[in-house]
Amino acid sequence: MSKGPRAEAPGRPVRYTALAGEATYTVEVVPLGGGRFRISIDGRTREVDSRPTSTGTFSLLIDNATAEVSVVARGEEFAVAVEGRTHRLRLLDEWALRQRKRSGAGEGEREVRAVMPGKVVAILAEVGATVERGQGLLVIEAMKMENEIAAPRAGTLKELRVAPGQAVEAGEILAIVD
Amino acid sequence: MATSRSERPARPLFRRVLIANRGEIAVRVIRACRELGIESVAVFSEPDRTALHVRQADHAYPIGPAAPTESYLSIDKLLGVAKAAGAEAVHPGYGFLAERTAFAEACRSAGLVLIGPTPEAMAAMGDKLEARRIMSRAGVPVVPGTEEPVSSESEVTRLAGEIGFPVLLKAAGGGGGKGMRLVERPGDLAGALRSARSEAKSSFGDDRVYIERAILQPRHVEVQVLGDSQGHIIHLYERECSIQRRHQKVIEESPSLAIDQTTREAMGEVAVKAARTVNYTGAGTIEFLVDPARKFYFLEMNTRIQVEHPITEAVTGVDLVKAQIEVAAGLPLRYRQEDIVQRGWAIECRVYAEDPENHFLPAPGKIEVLRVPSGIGIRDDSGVYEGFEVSTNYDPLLSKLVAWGSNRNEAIERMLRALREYTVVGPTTNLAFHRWALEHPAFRAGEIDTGFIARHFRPGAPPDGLAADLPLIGAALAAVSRTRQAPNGAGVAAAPGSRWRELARREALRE
Repeated sequence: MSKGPRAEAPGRPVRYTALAGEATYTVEVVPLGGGRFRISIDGRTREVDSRPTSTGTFSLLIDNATAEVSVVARGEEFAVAVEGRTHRLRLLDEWALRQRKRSGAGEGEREVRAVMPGKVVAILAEVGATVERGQGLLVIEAMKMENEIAAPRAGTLKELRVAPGQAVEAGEILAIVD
Repeated sequence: MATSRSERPARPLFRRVLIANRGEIAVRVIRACRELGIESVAVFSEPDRTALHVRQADHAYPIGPAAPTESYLSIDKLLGVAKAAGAEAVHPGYGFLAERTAFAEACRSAGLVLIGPTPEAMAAMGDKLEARRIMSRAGVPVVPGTEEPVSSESEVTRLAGEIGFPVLLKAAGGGGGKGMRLVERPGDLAGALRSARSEAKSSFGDDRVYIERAILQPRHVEVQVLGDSQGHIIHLYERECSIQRRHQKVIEESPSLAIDQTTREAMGEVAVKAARTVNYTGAGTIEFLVDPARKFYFLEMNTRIQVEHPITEAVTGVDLVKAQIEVAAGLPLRYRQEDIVQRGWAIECRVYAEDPENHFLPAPGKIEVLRVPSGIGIRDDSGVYEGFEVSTNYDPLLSKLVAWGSNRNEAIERMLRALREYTVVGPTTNLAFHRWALEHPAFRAGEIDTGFIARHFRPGAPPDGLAADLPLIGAALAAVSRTRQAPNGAGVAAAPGSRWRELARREALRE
């Protein structure tokens, strides 16, 4: 059952670090009570009136402008649909950010995941190599088509977790670019 | 709009019809059957047990595992179901067995009515070389090229020299861009011939390749025809399908801006003539290429209902699937040529689970949130529902969104409005791509040809301002709602126990 933010008491500010493509954002949410929130994104602050409607969907009022977002979350991963476009991003709360730093992962680290089940047919880059955003890292065969998996950002190919011939599941981590 | 000349008979045309397909087209046929008082019989592969067509049909029979060759392409299994279910006729939809002569013949032998053309017409049009010969003899303009397959390098070099570069090598046995090569220089011919033949062999089991002059910047314009078994053939004017990716259509419209009224009438007459040469019955489509000088050439005939048939239905008012069923039952067409009038403008956007940012590759997955547009002038022919898992086994078409307007501009604005209302979360879709295309100045100006996407589309620049922050705002609100709820109160925004979370846990353990 989806309830969304409860329209009641104010709460303490919650901070997140958002990772989307190559960009990193600092997000702060202050629940003001009554379904209202003060949301800052890299210092751009707005007051948002948010009410859950149908499944995963929030009706927003921002300065009396209406907007609607539909959100599906899988742990840290969020898929957010806005006007026909689905945006994929990761949201790390302070706890997750600390864990990440402790494990030695840089803030700029990006996991490359399989979007559908398939089989690895080729590896196109070596661990340690400098890669450009959009550069092919490996090739996965799925649905009888070869699908080149590209680096989500420029950086160093830190890890390759799969080998040619290996079957992969949807969501499985294939590589890490730092 | 066309007004029917006759009322429907009181008794159903068939008692039961088997629908040898899945997805949105199966749903489309089920709807037509229900309106005609005919019981529908669906078939389903293992992963399709809960597919929309199964939920909507009157009867449903399992036909085996996911692989199409073992289910939707198995003639034996389909005929077995037809017999067991007591079906009198079979509608093949499009794709799968719709244009397989062997299936049409098997239906005839089993005493089943195929809702489609005769095996003879199907065979004649299915072989691209044979179709070219027939059309050329009937005086239908064809792209200059060979009437025989080419096999040797020396032959292809001589013919290409006669026809003039650039030339196109094409597979005789099929379409969809498979086994097709554009050759601009004599030096590239030998290699292109080799690769075209091997691709044709692996795709169609037929390595015959022919050669024709390449029409540069062609527009794809096709004409809908309908024929009955009394020998009447009419056309229902054109559809333009120039917006293509990977040789597959994604946006279609009717009428077409590529042709004027004189060309329109001429193409319609030629299409009827083409259909008459094979005594065509049922619904079919004659595809033409139109060059920048508005000369048109026969490309091929599709002997089935087309994916994009709803735009013709929108501008003519004719229910094409019902017409197919009626003529298959032996009724004469309910319309004469003069009854068919184009009214207004219709556009179709094919909504696919695919990623335009990643070469338009399929992006299947579970549909977590689905909201479909409605309102004046909007039609959504869908094969999915919220909670449905889009499988990797089949075409990732989710639905066909059709907008009708009194003119092209109104149809475009209405489509843009509907696309904004359309929400799919789960699989990546091409909804945003459609908005990009319909807003593009070249599209608005009607300056489109089959190279439109390749020429204009670049993976998107992110929006700025409030629009850029909305995804972050949405995610943050969902995250806050998750933490503010009771431990087990998580809804869609949390999805506990998901595979991804499980993975994250395993990852954590590994480290």
